Amino acid sequence: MSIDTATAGAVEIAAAKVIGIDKRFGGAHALRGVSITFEKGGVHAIAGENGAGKSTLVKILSGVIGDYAGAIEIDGVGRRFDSIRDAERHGVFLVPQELSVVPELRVGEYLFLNREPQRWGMVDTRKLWADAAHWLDVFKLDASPLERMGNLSTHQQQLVSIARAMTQGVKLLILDEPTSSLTERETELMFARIVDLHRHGVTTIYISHRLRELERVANVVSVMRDGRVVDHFGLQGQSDTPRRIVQAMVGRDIIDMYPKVAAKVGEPILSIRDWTVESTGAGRVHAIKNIHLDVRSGEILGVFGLLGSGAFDLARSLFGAHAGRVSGSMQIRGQLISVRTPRDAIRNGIAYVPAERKRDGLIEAHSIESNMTLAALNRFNRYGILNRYGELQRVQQYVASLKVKCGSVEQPMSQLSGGNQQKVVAAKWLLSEPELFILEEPTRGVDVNARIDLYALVNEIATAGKAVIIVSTDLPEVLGMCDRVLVMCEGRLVREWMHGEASEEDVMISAAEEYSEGA
Amino acid sequence: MTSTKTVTERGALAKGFQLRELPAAMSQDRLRLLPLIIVLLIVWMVLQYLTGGLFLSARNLTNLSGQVAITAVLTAGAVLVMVPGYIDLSLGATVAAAAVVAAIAGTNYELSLWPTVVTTLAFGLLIGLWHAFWVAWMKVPSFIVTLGSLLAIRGLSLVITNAETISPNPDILVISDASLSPMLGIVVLFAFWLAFALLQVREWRARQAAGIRSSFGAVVGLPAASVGIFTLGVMIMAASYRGLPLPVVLVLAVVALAGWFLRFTAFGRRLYAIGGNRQAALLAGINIRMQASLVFAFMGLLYGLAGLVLVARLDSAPPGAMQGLELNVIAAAVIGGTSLMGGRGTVAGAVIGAILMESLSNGMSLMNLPSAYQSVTVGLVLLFAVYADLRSRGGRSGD
Repeated sequence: MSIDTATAGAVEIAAAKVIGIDKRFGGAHALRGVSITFEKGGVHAIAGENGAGKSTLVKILSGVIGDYAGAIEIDGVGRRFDSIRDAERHGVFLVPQELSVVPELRVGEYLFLNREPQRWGMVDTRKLWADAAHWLDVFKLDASPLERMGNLSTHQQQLVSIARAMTQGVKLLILDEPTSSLTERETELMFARIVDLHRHGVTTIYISHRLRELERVANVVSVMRDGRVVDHFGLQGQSDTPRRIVQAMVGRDIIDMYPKVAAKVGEPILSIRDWTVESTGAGRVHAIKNIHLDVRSGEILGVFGLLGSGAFDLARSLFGAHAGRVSGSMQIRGQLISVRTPRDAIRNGIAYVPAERKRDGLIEAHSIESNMTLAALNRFNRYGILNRYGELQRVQQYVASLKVKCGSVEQPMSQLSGGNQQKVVAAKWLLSEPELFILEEPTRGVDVNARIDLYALVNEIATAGKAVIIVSTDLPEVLGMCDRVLVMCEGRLVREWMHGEASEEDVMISAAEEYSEGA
Repeated sequence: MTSTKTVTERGALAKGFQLRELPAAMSQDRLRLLPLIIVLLIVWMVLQYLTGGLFLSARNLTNLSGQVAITAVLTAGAVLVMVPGYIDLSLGATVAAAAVVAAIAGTNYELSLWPTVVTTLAFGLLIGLWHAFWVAWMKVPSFIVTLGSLLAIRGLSLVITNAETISPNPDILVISDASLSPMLGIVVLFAFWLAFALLQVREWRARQAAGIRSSFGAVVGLPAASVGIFTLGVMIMAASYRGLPLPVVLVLAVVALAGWFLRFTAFGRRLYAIGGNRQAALLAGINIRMQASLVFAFMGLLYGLAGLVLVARLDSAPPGAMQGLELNVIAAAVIGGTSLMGGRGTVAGAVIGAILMESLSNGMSLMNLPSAYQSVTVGLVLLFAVYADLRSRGGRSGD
């Protein structure tokens, strides 16, 4: 790929530089002194696992987060953006993973939103449509400027979002996981556009954890891990790029924080056959295709998958909480059951700890005690009145045994740390006495000590003869805690390993589907 | 070994928490009512002074209690609706319609007292179920459903009555005129207070048994004393004028019932959960549809009850009566600490809010101020009450 050479003798000024960026969210150290130089005109990829700090970095760069330590230079000039508009004024645009388009707006209107061409105090519609048509043509987009945004496919919406940045004089374009919801063909088309962008003088930062993709579009890759840049190299002349990236991504010091206890594995508790889940988003039809799965008593099953792999759809659909249509058969201890709502699931002994704790798992303004007993209120219901003796005693018991750090059980959940909140959520499900625990990202946003407590709890549950499914994108956790690890990709189970058989690299490579196809 | 460590650790935590306990304790619903009660008492003192002793006379208090009855009954129900995050805008129209039904049942169909009562309550329940159907089953926002009723049912009353005021069967006047004898009234009030105090004691003992540090004063003493002073006041009023008016007995019954639901049953706990985080409530297996239906059905019964009190009080059923009642009720609930977003609110607070608002308008009438001034005052009280509440909860809901 050709990089425009500046006038002879002059030193090329980088399109953007981040210098020593440091950012903390409460106790979590998201970025630890990150410095990267983005050369002009190229496609610069940033790779890393979830939580490595990629998104935080681009949020800072694009003005979404204004509070950080360190410096940013755009075109050699120090800048500090305190809003998205501020960043956009200086030519930095972020096209986020989850697009937030206004579905009612027409394509042309959206392209020039907030910067409509004006004439005599009115929107100059003729110019608006003409300009819009021009840009759609540049992007070879087969859509009318009069089409409503909501009628476009995700892929088209993304291209329109990029075109919108172009109309506003973008210099640095940041694409956050642009292909996570695209089909193979759409991805292909998208790449062709991205590679073309440098001809318009645009520098692109491309974020993805699909490794094959990086090879196809990027000139340079920076790999992040635990808030640091751990590897940085040009792609030209590299022979096995994906492997080098994976090694950098996962090569961490693994402290032994996974006190795996092998429980006696017995009869199947959950069996699903032909499990198919329809996707609710646009694009793919099926989030999950024809999965067969057994989970036995005493077993901890790990399911690993990248974004859009269907791993989370699996968890939600087993709990009756998936919005898409679910088909297939489900058995609990050999008994055929139908789970249409979370209430059905709970009645059949299934518990679900959601990944989005604040959104799905707890009521932040309410007290620890009322959160903890919410799923098991019937157990404390005596003659139509809540048995406060029993309720408070059980609550105190779990606060003590799970070591929930709190001043009193009447404290609102919002005052607890992530780890303690998660313990309360876990206790809520323990109180409902289920047979099968589905844990989604059980230790996301949880500090190390609380993690160890939670792992101990998972072991205890398995030892008690229950079944556990851990759906997680935290690879060491899945490998460290689970008796069996399944990898999901594009709605299918693609590989299976027993405890200790797989390395992080193996799992990561089979989860990044393009590579496994090529290898 | 580990357990002793945990215990001492928790002990230390508990000790360290003592100082910080105050704001947390104040932020609990129970004690958050304290400032509101103080404001109410101050308002009463000021009105007593401004009206030259007229306001707190037994005669005026009896009159006030009649005024409060309708608002208080509906406010207690409105809290049940608002805690899970719904709202009811139809009150004025539905209560007036229930009054019309009561009047027609008595006059046109010559039903006696009890059949009239049953018919009116059934009518209210029917409207409540109508709301439940649209909100819970058809998933139309309650704001829209009840706004629709506000318009449609008001119109329906006008159509049925040809926009004329109907007089009820005189039998029905007993609802506002009857009163328990002072002796019986005192017994009822005392029983009300005793039941409340015993439930607080039960709560306190449950905490002691579970080893939760909590002061007797905060859990039992203060609430029992506040409710005690209130019931004592009503007792004095009952003893020195005409006994305990039936509308007041109805209010006590409805407040006790709604408060019971909300505080002591699993049903109430689930309502808070739905309002606090609907998604989390759903994932905890709560049947939101059933909960919402029951709440609106209960509210429907209260339309009927309030309609009966209204028709008896006015001795007529004007189809255009009670316009804007819904907003007064919502304002009273909000002043009493109920959140419009759901998840927060108590029946006790809402009833105090209702008493505060009716006291202001009653006192200002006694001072012969035009009702326009009452509007101004109530509006400002609402604004300041909500502002004070937001501030007292600090930045927690800030961002």
